[in-house]
Formats: sequence, C-alpha cells, structure tokens
Amino acid sequence: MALSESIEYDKIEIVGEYKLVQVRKATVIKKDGKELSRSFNRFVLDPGTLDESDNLVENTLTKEVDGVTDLPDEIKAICNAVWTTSVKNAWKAFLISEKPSS
Amino acid sequence: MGIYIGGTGSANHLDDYEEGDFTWTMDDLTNSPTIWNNTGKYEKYGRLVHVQGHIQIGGTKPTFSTITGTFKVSGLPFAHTNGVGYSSALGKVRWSQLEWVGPSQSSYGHNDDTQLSCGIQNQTKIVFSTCGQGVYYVGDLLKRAVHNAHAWNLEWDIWYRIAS
Repeated sequence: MALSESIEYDKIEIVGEYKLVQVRKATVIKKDGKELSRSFNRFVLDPGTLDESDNLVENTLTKEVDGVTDLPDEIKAICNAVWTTSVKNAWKAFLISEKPSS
Repeated sequence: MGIYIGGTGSANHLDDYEEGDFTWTMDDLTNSPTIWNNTGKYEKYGRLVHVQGHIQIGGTKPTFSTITGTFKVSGLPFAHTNGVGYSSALGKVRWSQLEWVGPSQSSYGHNDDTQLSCGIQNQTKIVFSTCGQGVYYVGDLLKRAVHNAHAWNLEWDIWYRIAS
C-alpha cells in the first residue's frame, strides 16, 4: 500500500476586465495510484497595487499570495501574457477610482 | 451540467459548488509579525461565495511602511464583481485590541468607534469600515489601528458575488 500526496494547480482562470488570474491549488491524496481525496486552496493574482503617489507597483510574480510559496512558471507566463499595458493602465485607473475620498 | 431550482431560466441554474481554504496576507507589511491564527475558509455556491477569515497577532506586531492608508487584507479566493452600495459587499466583524487613535470625525479609529464591518475593495481585498458612537461618519479602518501596538484579533464573515 503506497500513499502519496501531490500538489496540482488544477484550475487557472482569467476573469473580468482587468484579467485577474484565479488559481485553484489542489492537494491530492492517492493510495496505490487511486485518488482518495482532493482538497482546494485558492488565490487571486492582480496586476499590482498603488503606491502613495498613485503609481502602479506591478506584481513581481515571485510568490503566491501567501508570500511564501514560489509561483509556478506556468502561472507567471499566463499573467505576463494577459497583463498588457492597456490592462495595467485600466487596473491602475480602477484602483485610483476606489480610493476613499479624503 | 448543474441543476435548475424553481424554474428553468438561467437565473434558476446552479452549476457549481466548491469549498476550500486560503491564506490571508496584510498589504504593505514591512516586517514578519507573529501570527497565531491565519485562517480562511470558503464555500462557493454558483456565483455566490461565502468567506470566513481570522487573523490574530502574537508577540511581534505588524509594522507598515505608512500608517495613514486603508488597512487591506489580501487573499480572497475569487475576484469580486457586481456588488452594490459603497461597500460592494458587506460582512460582519469581531475585533479586539485595535489601536484607536485620532479625531472621531475622521472615523478612522477613535475611542468611540466601536463598530466595524467589512467590505471588499479592488475586487480581491478585505477592508474594514468604522462606524462611531454618536458620529455619522463611516470610514476605512487605517493601518495605524493595527500598526505595532497590540496583539490584535480580527474575525470576519462575508458573502459576495463573483463573475461566474
């Protein structure tokens, strides 16, 4: 009897005007090669955040949202493909529009 | 796939259920605080997502590069869309040991600001709103309320809509 545990990025979705990338990470437990369970952990990647001067600080795509786990190259490639300059500019404008009025 | 409930139109169609967990991170951190609890759980029912979150700080308190901006927590499992109202989505919050400072009219953290609710900004981040006793302002909870002072605790529960 052999039990194994593996991680699969089993769903990567691009959603909305700003091409946010939704990622589902599955932890798969198998016994003798047959899947026993699949549990999910999720995160969403966006093109960046605003600094104090309303400049867009682009997502460096080095870690998952937990700040610890290295981001797989496959996901980095998807983000870089869909986050065009026009998408980043639109995202920046959206972030500015959501800032609270002072 | 999916099931139709109460009719056969697209508005009656439920095509997905999923549950899982995720990890919260505080935006703009400049250190690695001690975090006793960091829990995020979700259930997705079609386009509606339910999320519970919990962050509890331990010995090393979080510090931020600036303390004047809105305190934001990243990590939502799905991007939010199609909300209504100023909060876009609205949830309940339980808190303890926040640092309440500042004038009450700012509503950003005064001794009288005892109520917090949560909402979603930037489609992917939880933010917290203060509502003070005896004042009619509502404002974002700022980072100064959680910056380098206490072993604070925040728990929240929110439902929100997603694109699909």
